[in-house]
Amino acid sequence: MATLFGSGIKRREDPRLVTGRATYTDDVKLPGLLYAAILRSTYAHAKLKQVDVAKAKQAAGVVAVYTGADLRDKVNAVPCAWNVPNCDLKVPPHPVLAVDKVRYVGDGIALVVAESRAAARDALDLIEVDYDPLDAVVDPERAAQKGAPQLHADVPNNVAFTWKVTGGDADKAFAEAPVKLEQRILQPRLLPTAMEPRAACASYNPGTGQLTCWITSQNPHIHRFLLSVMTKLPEHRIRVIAPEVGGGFGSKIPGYADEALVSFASLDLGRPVKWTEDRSENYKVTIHGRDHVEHVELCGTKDGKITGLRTRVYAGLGGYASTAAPGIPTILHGLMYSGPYAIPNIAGTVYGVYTTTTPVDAYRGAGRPEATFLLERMIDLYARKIGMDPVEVRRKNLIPNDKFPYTVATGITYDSGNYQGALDKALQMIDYKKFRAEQAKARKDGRYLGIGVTTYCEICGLGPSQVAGAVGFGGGLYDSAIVRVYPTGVVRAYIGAKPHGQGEETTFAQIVADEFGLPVENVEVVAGDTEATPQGWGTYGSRTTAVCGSAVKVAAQRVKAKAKQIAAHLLEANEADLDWKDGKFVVKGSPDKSKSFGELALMANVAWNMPPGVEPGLEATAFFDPTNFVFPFGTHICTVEVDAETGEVKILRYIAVDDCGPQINPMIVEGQVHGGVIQGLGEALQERAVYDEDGQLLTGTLMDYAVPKASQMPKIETAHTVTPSPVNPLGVKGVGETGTIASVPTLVNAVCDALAPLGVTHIDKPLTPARVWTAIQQAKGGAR
Amino acid sequence: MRIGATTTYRELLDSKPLRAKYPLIAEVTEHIGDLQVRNAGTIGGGLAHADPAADMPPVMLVLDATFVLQSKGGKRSVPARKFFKGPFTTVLKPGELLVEIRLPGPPKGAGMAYASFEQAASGYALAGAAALVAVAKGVIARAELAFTGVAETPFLAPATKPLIGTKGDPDAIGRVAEAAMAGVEANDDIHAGREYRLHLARVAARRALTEALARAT
Repeated sequence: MATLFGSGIKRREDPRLVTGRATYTDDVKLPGLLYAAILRSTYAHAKLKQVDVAKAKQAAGVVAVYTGADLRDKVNAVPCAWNVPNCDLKVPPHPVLAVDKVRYVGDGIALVVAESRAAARDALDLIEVDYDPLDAVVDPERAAQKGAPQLHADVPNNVAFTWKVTGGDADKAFAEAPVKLEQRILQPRLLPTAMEPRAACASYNPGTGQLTCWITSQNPHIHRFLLSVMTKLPEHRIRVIAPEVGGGFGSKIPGYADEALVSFASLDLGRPVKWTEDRSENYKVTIHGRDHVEHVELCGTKDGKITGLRTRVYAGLGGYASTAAPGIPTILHGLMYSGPYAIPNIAGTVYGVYTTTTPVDAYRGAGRPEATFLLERMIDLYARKIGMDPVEVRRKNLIPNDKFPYTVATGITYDSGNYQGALDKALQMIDYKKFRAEQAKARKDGRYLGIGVTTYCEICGLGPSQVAGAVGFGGGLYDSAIVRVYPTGVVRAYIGAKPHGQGEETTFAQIVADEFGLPVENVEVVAGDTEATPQGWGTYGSRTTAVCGSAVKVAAQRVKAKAKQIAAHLLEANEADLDWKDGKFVVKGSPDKSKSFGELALMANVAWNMPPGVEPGLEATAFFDPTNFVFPFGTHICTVEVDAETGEVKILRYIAVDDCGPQINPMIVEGQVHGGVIQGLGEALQERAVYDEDGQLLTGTLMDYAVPKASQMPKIETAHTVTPSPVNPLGVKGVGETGTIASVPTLVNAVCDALAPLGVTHIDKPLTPARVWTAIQQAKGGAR
Repeated sequence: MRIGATTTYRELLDSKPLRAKYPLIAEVTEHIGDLQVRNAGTIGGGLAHADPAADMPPVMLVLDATFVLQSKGGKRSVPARKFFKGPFTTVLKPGELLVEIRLPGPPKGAGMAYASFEQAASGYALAGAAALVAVAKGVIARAELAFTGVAETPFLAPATKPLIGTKGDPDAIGRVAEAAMAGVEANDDIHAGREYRLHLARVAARRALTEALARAT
């Protein structure tokens, strides 16, 4: 029987999504529903002298207005849940509404609840706020200097933490190395821009004492816990439902004040309350990503062997520490400084810095794109300095195929890899030598062609819970599934993760259907309701298939083992004498004696004739905790032509060779790669959140923040190698973030390669025509 | 030709007479907004909105269009070249509507072209140039050049005279493109600094003039 594993069947999620029949949080309508609007600070940094809500309370349709002072003793602060150890982490309180000070444009000041959305919004204009403005500071490096404006009383120089990673002896390596180079690299702040903005709808039932909260969530169980902390309601009286979620890219992981505010209002008023942000509010309030200022040094031999890497990184955190913020530029960034290479000596220092800006947290790739970018950029600079082909430098430093599992200098152990295999395949696809010849010819004609190559690996499939605990993550990182077989032989899998665009409703059904020999239509996957699903930790960090998918697999295996017991009993045979064939248990040597999965489902559920000591029913729960992370890898190559007159970059070809282990659904894998690459090319070419000196977000709408459009993006050629991971029963690795991790340096390296004849070595992202042109002018000026 | 102000971009694209006589209008319209915007947006609405980086105003300037403005009190005609006063500001008075766009027949055999560089997020022009070039007896008889995105309003370049009577060789076109930016107070924002914007405007001018000349018969 053909397996569904490996079959590119269509996503079952899509018809309802593309025909407008999906239910999102904002679609939830309840009897007596009230609407919330939140007054947001218009200053980046100011003392709140007075907040006068008297007029707003009198406005037509307004039911209640709350200020920070009103809620101070009623709602707890927004928690930070990643207490990274050994870095002197300082997490000042983050009240759900500002009490005496605001720390970014968008910081909440007052909550209005009204009979209609319009009435709630109109009432915001009636609130009078008396601000005493303070100086803003938006650049993380500047914020960490003495004399910079101070955000929090107990955080000197705004430094939230100083985190170090060391392996080998970097200082010695640099002292001895014949070749050294350094580069300041900026990783600009980005806006995650999920298509669906965030929303929360809370309904407290005073009769039962239960609170139900619909949240745009990537991790409903985490949100249940965080909501319990903020509202002070015990966890078992809170139900979190994440209905359809229209993308997250990390921005729907954190706990926000907003869901606590509507929950409190519902508790206080005894009526359901809903809040939905619009795009402008989304850009001000929902977390941002990246925002690093990096000083990077690399050293090596004259013949291309890298011997050391040093970094000093200032990571902007925004006004407060968001839920996972401290872990992103540390654990998920610094531990990946070796990339796919054997770099013996590494020393990194990361300063987490508060700035008067929107909080920064996980954004697709979360720390790993920043690590890969700085490393891949430095390797190209190194190659140019020693006059060696950048591909050869990479080849010389890649971890050899026979060395896995391999422990890098930062202390983590890579599960499996075949880095040369992916590199060879990508080089073959682009015909590297031929392109270099074309490039040389074009240069003679005054045309600027370039090629960028990135060999990467990344850490995902988060991860062993023991490690989560050791690195201060405030939760587990296992995941869970209940596989429940109905009397008629159809199946539901209830999962702890919460896919929101990644397609696991389809791929997990493929896993279960394969195990039971069923048509895929007979299996449903249920996610996103804490009342129905077992404790899980959500969808992020490319973990859902590797961790939760494994739980699904294990639960299905347990169900099948029980079915086999029942089959043996009914067939009066030993279990050892049963074969599983075409969806049936068959007695060896007696092909006419068999029990189908459907028959066993019925017999287990009616329990008329169970084996002695075996309970009725046919379902199993599994909690899967992996023994290690997974480390997908690959090679991306991009060729470009730069118009030196205007600075415009034209992508000629984009090739992505990724290895995420065996693929359950190749079409979905390809879709993840496409989306990731495009999101990365957006980062490389045109996306950047810009604050002015006063802390006002200048890219506050889609008219100024350049999310990539289909017409701006190239065709992407994908290919794969397959190297299974030994750390989970499916052998799979994650593929949700590889595209954003690999594509950014690939594009930037290609453009810098194109402009090498002009003497351009580095251009900071994004490579807008204006920046490329300016770099060309500066290089020309320098040559004169 | 007369175009009603509420004519949608889609209707402009579908109009055969317009395409035949003013192909540049159709060419530029294809770059306005996206499909949904072109289905709903109107030429009169766009012009009256007077976004300083919109694509259509410089086309109106080189074509020397006249706008008919109407209020309860009556009608008046204003040349497009005197219509735009500042960012999102025109000579329209309260209670007055732009109701019609009147286009003089283009000079016989005139070539027209538009070149622009888009801001990646909005699609509006960082700098754009529209050009009209008419040739008689082998030399340029008329040359018009107008810009958008560069300054507070779209504007007509005053200095195309050096091209008249010449064959329009690349150096001459380059000099006109260069001269067109003399004294221009260019916009400076997060998407393009002043110097780069002036540079793009010169490139757009050169490309538009060159293409218009090539299209002239």
